[in-house]
Amino acid sequence: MVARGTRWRGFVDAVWWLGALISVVILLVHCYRFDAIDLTRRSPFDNTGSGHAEQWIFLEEASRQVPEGASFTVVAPDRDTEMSLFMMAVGLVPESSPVPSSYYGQSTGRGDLAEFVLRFGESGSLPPSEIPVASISGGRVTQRRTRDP
Amino acid sequence: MTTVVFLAAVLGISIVLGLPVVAHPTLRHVSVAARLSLAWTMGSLILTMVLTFLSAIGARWTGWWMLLACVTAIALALRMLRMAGPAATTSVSWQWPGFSVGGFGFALVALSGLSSLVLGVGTSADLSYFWGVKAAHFALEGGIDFELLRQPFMIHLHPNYPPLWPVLLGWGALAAQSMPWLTISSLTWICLTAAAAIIFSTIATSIGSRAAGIVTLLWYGILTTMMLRSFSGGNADGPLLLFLSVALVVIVTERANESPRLRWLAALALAGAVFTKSEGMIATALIVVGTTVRDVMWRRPAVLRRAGALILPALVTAGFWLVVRIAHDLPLSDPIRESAFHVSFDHIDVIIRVCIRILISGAVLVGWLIPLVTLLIVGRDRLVATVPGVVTALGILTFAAGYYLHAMGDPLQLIVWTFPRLIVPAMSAWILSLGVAVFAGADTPEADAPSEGGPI
Repeated sequence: MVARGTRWRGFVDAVWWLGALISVVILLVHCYRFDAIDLTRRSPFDNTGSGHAEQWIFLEEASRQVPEGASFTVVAPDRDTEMSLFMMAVGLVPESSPVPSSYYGQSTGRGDLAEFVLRFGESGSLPPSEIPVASISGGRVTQRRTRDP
Repeated sequence: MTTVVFLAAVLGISIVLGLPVVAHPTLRHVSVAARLSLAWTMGSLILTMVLTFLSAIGARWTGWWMLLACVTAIALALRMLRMAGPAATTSVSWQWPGFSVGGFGFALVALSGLSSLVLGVGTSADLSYFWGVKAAHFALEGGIDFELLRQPFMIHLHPNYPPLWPVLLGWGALAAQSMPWLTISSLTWICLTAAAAIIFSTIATSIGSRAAGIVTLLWYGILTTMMLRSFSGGNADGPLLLFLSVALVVIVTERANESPRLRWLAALALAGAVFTKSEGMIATALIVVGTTVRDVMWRRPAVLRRAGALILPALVTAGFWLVVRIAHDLPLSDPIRESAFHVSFDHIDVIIRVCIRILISGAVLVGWLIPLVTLLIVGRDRLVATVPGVVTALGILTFAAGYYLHAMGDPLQLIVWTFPRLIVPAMSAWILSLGVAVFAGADTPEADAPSEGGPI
């Protein structure tokens, strides 16, 4: 057995080196898609190509418009994006109170109670109950008018 | 500045708290880089257990508590060093695998991995969905925010998940007074590199520096690629891989005719895995089963007692987190995961098709094939030694397949999202166990040692 091992040892070494080389090449090809890499990062997702970067930048800009302690909700054209934005907003705007308009695709019926609305991907007319606060990357922030008692 | 303070809090404090572990006499032979990495690995477990305990009893995280913990750790480390004395060390001659191709390969992988993770090429969405979110709130609260985790619209934060990663990040953010979101995925590179340093140093004592360099380089290249391609940057898969790899490398370098003197380190590492991710418990159980089977086949004495000792710290940490959850009214299971009582065998076709496609893609295929082919050529007499790693690797794959059978609706998206990450520890176990078996005896006198299974 030792003799067989000794005979094949050079081959085994070469195979492992080859494997290491292939893994390094695959890694380099994956890492250095230079045309895709953005060196001026604004979000943790700028180079993932996942679409999260847009949401992140929108929320980061929106967070500056929401006062500490105020409640806010997130509205998006589809429920998956809305859920994604809500989950991110909990961490990106931690000093305010997030209220989901929908949660895992189901309407919560609570979004209407929030003071601020972060509208992602929307540029149409606003509901009469909201006044615009700021236009930001990917959407805008609105505030609900105070209801009469 | 935020990044510097964050890293100092996450890395520096952990390293200090891990000093008593690396001062243990059985670790005197490992390299300085490996000891530093081990100090961080074990220190992060100690740090997060202390912080979790403080939160559990209602105490805020403050610098004073950490100062007390660090002074205690330094005193313990000094005491252990004095007790052991200088003569207790085992001298090993360290030789880097030559600067040549090996050194160049390590540098390439390290630089590629670092630059990719710094640039966020492999950042995990889960960082922004729950790992980092929890950490941001823990930092604001100065402790684990149990009230947040109890809220009905916060179940996406997975309140039952083990706390190590968000607590560690939260501690760093508290110290830095801000959450350095762009920095966090770099910690995944630190986990990979720390693991590589520990693996190299540990297996070098078993198969020699040259062979250790080859095995570690393949492990480092494949695992870095897999972590990037599975978008695991910044999530808890980095520390999970680190803890499991430390445990595995200790176990697969044990010899049939020697007392397992580093088993305590593997046991602590498994405790860390259990405190990091739910999958850590599955992998821990598989490692313990695989190790027990191998020990029985090696006819080692006191196999069950040793198996009990190996899993005991993991059970203690799991029990600790269970008590904390019960005391603070947190869910004991994950409300948004698949139901254990729903099984759909209609999924088998898509599970097999998609999982096989992922298992034979690029670096993953290289990682499976090279250790297997070379083991079959030169290491057929050492198959028993590979049992802990093989049981772990195949067990994780089986667990994943079983898990997908429980998916409600089409499991395709679930598989594509989670399978590339689930197989990372499996690949680590595979390369380490088969790699050590392939090269055992190549550089060291053990080539002529009695074959395994013989008299002890």
